[in-house]
Amino acid sequence: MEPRSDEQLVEAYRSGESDAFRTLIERHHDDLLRFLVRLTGDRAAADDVFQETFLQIHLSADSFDVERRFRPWLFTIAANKARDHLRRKGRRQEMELSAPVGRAGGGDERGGVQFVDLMEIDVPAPDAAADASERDRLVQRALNDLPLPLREILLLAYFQRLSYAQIAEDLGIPLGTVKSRLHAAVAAFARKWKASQNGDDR
Amino acid sequence: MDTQTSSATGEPAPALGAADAAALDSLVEAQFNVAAVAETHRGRAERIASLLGLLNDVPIGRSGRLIEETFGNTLGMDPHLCADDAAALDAWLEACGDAERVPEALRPRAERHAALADAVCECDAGGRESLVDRTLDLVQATIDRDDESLVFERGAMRRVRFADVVSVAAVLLLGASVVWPILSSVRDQARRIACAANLHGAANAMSGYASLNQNALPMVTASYGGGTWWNVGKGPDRSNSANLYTLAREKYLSLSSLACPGNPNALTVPASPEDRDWRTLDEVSYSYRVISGPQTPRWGDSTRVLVMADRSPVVQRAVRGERVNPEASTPNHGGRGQHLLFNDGAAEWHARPILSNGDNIWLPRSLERVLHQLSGGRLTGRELPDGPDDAFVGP
Repeated sequence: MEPRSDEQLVEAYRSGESDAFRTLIERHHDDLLRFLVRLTGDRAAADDVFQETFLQIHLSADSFDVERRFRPWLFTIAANKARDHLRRKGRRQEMELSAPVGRAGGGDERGGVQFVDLMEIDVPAPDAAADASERDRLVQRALNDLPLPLREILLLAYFQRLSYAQIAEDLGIPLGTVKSRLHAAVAAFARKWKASQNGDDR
Repeated sequence: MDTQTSSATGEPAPALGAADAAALDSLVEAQFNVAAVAETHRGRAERIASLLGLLNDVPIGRSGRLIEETFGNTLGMDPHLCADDAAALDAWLEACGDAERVPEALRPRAERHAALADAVCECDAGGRESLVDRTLDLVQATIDRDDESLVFERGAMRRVRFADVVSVAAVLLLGASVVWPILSSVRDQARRIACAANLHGAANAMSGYASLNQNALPMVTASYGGGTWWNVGKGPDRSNSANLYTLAREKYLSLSSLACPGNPNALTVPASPEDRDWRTLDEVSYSYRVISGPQTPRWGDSTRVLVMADRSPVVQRAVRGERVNPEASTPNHGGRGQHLLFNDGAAEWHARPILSNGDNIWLPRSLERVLHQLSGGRLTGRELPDGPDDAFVGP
């Protein structure tokens, strides 16, 4: 027998079949948790947001339109919860420009301020033989350096691999905005990743 | 500009101070012409312009795009993909992330996008069972809280006029079939509240016992341990429940405090003042940590362990030689969950008989492991906790 679709499971849960909810959580556990670890940069925070996300799914299950796809709905809720979490996380530090700034501001130690080139994705492919935890750390570092809106759209696109039209529909923003934001996100991430591969990440 | 960027260490990213932010705004409004910035901001604007390298290295205004890009780069704004990579990214996403479906000319670049995406998507997602269970517990706790608020709202009805109550009663009578499940829920809630109060009473009693017995948990004799612990009523040295009964025998609490309203056979008054145990398993409302002599943890230990819970459905069935479901909840509350009391005095409601570390409270860890490996397994009533940190209660 074919396993039930996510949407059928939501419908079953709404009808009182509580096991359907467990199936949904188990089915999306790995992907959603990875997405949240990458978005928040913190495993403990990802755990919390994971739970908040499914609590929200429970609370909103009645309002879910089963004609739509569940997974984008889940990831959009998770991204919103993660954003709230990061906002709550604490006040940002203030920095006076008169204070020593080191390399702050994106300057290049060797050549002063580095101007933006049109970014080419000529980065080394992740080496499967490389130490997985080291690679994981470098990826997370590169992600953490991205502004949140860019990190969010990059991760939504990478984890869901949906077309621009679908992402635009799910996020409720114009297709052109999705496209330009994702291009910027990929370029920024590639630059950070390249820097980390060259060993000049901070 | 976005200032929420986190640093590599996970610390919040620095943001400009108010004065610097105002100076920056002025600099932008003045189209990066420091001389045109208001005098109050000029000093800071000069530092900003200097930091951006705009004064010495780049002729201001000669290339608006260069300034914009420099500015954007410095503050973390968008860099741009080259045309081929942008096209490859678009094609890769339109192919739903399948590089094989990307036109050949763009495929090598699409594969680079795929490799980057894979690196991002691969990270540790371990601890699956625990997180799934904690999530379900959170949802269940929310459902329970909603139920409790319903009880609270019903309590508030006492403050309204009698005529209002009569009106509401009439409506309730008319819609009895609809309302019945709610009333049933209210009864369950009342039982649960009374049961929780019992556990708090037991916590006080155990604390009192511990203070006079070198922090020990209640036990019949200091050397208690071994034997078949589920022989309720067969002699105090042959039953684990006799250890818990010690609290009532030694007047730390009344026996009715160890009677859950969800157990129809619970004993509320001792059958004889000489009794040292309940007479039958059915009379026992709460399961108690299986006492295992010197290995038994103590009240108030820094290691948090379970000491008492609503009665075990596993022991009830195992005694009769029936197959058990280790994940079943106590019959005291209709299988919806159970109260647990820990050695720090905290009483908690858990929807499942499994602690956050995955420990099943109805079974010793050795049997949990066996059950994990096999599809079946039987308790014999002789098992002991695997160590001080193994939650295991019975009967």
